[in-house]
Amino acid sequence: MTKSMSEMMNNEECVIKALEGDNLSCERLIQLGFLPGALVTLISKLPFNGPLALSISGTKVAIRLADAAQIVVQTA
Amino acid sequence: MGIESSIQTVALIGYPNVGKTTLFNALSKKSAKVVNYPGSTVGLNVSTADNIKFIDTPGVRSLTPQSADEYVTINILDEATYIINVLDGTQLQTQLNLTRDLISRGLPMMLVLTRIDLHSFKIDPVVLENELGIRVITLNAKKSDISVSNLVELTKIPKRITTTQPFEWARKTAQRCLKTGADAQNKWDLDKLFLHPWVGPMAFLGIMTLFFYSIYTIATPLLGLVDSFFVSSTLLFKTHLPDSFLTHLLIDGVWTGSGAALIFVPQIFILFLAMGLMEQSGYLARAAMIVDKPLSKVGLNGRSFLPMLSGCACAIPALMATRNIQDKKVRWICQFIVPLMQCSARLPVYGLLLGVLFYNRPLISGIALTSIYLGSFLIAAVIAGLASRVLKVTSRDTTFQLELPQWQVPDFKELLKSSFKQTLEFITNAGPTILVVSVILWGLATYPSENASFAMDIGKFFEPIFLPMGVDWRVGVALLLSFAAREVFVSALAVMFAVGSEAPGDILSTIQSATFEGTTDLIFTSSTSLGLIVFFMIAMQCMATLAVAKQEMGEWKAPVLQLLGYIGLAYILAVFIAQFG
Repeated sequence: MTKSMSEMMNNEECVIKALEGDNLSCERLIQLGFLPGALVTLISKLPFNGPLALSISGTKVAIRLADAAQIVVQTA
Repeated sequence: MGIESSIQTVALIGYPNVGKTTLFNALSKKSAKVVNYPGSTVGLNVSTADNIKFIDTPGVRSLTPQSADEYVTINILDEATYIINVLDGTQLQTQLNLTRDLISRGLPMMLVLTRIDLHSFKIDPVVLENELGIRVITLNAKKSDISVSNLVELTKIPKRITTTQPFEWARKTAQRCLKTGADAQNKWDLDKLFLHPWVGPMAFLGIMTLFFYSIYTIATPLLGLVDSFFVSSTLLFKTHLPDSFLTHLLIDGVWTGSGAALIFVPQIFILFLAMGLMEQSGYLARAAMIVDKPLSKVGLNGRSFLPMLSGCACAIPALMATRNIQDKKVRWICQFIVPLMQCSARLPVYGLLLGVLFYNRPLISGIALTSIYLGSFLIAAVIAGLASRVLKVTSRDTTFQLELPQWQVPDFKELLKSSFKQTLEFITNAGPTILVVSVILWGLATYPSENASFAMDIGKFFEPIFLPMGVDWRVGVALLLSFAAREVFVSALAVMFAVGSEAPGDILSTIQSATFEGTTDLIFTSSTSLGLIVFFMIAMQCMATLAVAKQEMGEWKAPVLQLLGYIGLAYILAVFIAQFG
């Protein structure tokens, strides 16, 4: 089942399928390790639509909800 | 690879927070500041020895620069003859993308893997060496005695990488290097607590409150020690030295002036210590994430948190730290409000005025100081909000992505050492100014005679400006001098009120009993003191900050607006409080 990364639950593990959106923001996400095929785990989602903390290939990263909404993931 | 006689440039390049500066310090025997937060190096650290110019650069994620500090690194690459690429062993897959870009430059290079010990699985450097055709070493920089020329000798021209799927190449290469299975996911760590949806923000508020509160309360006993030292030594001087010009210069000028400012050194030390604790542990990045949402409402983002926090020490490094903010408008707003952060030079002033307001009540003084910090954040938020409306900041103008570094147990020995060093720097930077100003002021206040001095002429001339603030010409002179540097205010007050007074006493009791000349009306009433506190909270009184703001903002208009706007606002509020408080 595919969904947007912004819909992931705490501790949920997913595989990145695709990145959508404009080039610049995709480029930045890719540099942080958000590549198709990568395994991500949601560490935490801050309240009031705040940023998300994710663990991706051994790294932890914080991104905004709007960025996460551009990433399509599949439940592992 | 031999080393030619001409100067060779060796550049340390890598992602943010991979340990470049730690390696730089170990190799060059220097002590550039190391912080566990991505992007803490904003300028270049350079060391030259044996015809090798060795450069530590700000971290980059690719060779297409996005923020101001990244441009600095890309420019260095054009000058470099050798590249040392530093990679965080725990983030191999992502960081190999930068390595691939660097390889395409065709310069002799080598790889250093850091943080290998933090990894739950093993990396095989030999696999990486075969794949890239260059040497890969693992290093614990703190424990090695390797030199730059050793590393230069290890560099080789890398193999060309021919792939049509660069990201896939990085992923496969990284996987081949891993000796055993994948990282254990879902391992419990501090982030379950500090990034918890509601425990995290509460913990943040708790930590920040404790941070500001402890600056006052922990320092109080130390402060008493320094204070009694100066009071008793003054007494000693007065009784044992002859009543001469030199004695007066020494006691009323030098000793009174420097003593008044040095009293507050313990507070500054605690401030640096607490800040270092947050930087080293890795909490700073978590805090940045937690405040991102609220800051985004006023045109800032999570990355603005570091400059704002370091502004609580000094606005100058804080302004330089804004280079780490990628969005132009966000950076501008952050630079505009940084001078509103309560820098350490204000601490002596608050220490004195809070002493007047809440004499011998350290608990309440601590709470009051915390309120000063929080109040200044509120003022900064209002001004940032206004600025973001004027600049029409939209959601597209502000972004936020940040690597969260691994948690680290702070090295307490190192922490104490660096806090001590920073405090010493504060004393050596501020000390001479305080000393010179104190002595000049003593001269101005003593000659031609104490009852008709030069300081009096100047003070009386400007008195109409200061009277509405509820203070007389003597405080006015101290206020005028505080525009040279804020911390001078306390020393200047000490000197102004010491001249002509017979009873030696500490600065606090002198100030508390000070009256308008020829009357019994106290000068430092609650409303006057509060008004002065608000004045110091907002007014931009630091010429060095003005100069750095010009340098970082690249124009004069904004810094001049900061100067006049903040002084004007501070004056209006101070007068309002003094008149109606």
